[in-house]
Amino acid sequence: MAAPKQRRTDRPSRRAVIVAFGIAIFAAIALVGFAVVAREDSNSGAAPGVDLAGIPQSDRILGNPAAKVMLVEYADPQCPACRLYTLDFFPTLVRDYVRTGKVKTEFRGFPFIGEDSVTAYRFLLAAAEQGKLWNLAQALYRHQGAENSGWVTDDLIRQLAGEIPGLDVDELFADAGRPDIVREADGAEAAGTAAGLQQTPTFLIVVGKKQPYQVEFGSIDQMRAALDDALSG
Amino acid sequence: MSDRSLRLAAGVVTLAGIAVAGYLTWVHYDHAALVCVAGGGCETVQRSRYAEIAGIPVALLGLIGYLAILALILWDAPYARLGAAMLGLIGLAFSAYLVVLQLFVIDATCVWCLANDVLIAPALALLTALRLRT
Repeated sequence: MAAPKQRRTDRPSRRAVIVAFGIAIFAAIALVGFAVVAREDSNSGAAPGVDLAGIPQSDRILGNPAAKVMLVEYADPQCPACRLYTLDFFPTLVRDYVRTGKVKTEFRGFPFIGEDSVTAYRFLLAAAEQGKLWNLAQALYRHQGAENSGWVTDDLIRQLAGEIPGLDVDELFADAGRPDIVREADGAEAAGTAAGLQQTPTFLIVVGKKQPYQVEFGSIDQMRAALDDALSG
Repeated sequence: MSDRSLRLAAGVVTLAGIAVAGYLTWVHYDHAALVCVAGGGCETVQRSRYAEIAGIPVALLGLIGYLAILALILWDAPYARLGAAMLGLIGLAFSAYLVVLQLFVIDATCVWCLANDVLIAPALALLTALRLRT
């Protein structure tokens, strides 16, 4: 005769299962809630910017106009990777290459992510009219909102522009509405696509009158290597 | 389906989750992937503000979760099965949140991220079946 099937004594009780289920539901709600709150907190603080005072700016170019080497950056003001470049790489570029007069850098917009990208680019082009594009670009990246959430508002621009010494805010808004600037911002994505751009940031190095060439940076050391190579070439 | 087959299937799905979450964690820390691609994509999602919670990459959280589930499957005590099923439940809820973010907020989807989010559903089904057999 077969022995009766033995009941496993370490089997969780019904009460233990209910408690575990309750804990799991609570943990799931807490995790999602914490994720939402942590994200909102991260939006409220702005990273410190790089001091551009004393560095020449003309149109879209930052740095010594006579510098032999120019680093061109194709960027989208909404692009999180461009923001990371601005926070992680740009300070080194400015301190060691731009401020020293060895390299100049040019901003070219490729506003492909959405409407906020185009709006932000209009204001960047307008700021370029006053030689303040790079100041406003930095401020926008430091306050970058969620993609296509409508974060590029007149109020935000007015606030950020008001904190940039020497930038006439009313003139900025007037220029941002100029037909030529609106046309350029609206057509920048198509122009970039036609030029073969597929991603931001995309970097080109221009040495004198030589053919520009594309570079990629995986680290600050790689950026230094690429610029040092261009300077020695 | 035998208990052994069920454990094996749960283990395979969990290993797949570990592989995908491990890849996404690697991509997150790799600065060579520091780009936003036209048309959206993994890089946009991975570089968005939503890719981290209090400085911890979401992909790393997923990797830790899948590793914990695998450890519980290998342990295979009744309470371990209960714990694995509950972890699967938490994972499913959080994955649902991440999918909604990608589709409606970030407005960019990432095949690997979606694969990672979707894998938790069969994992939870198998872990629940295992738990009910206890």
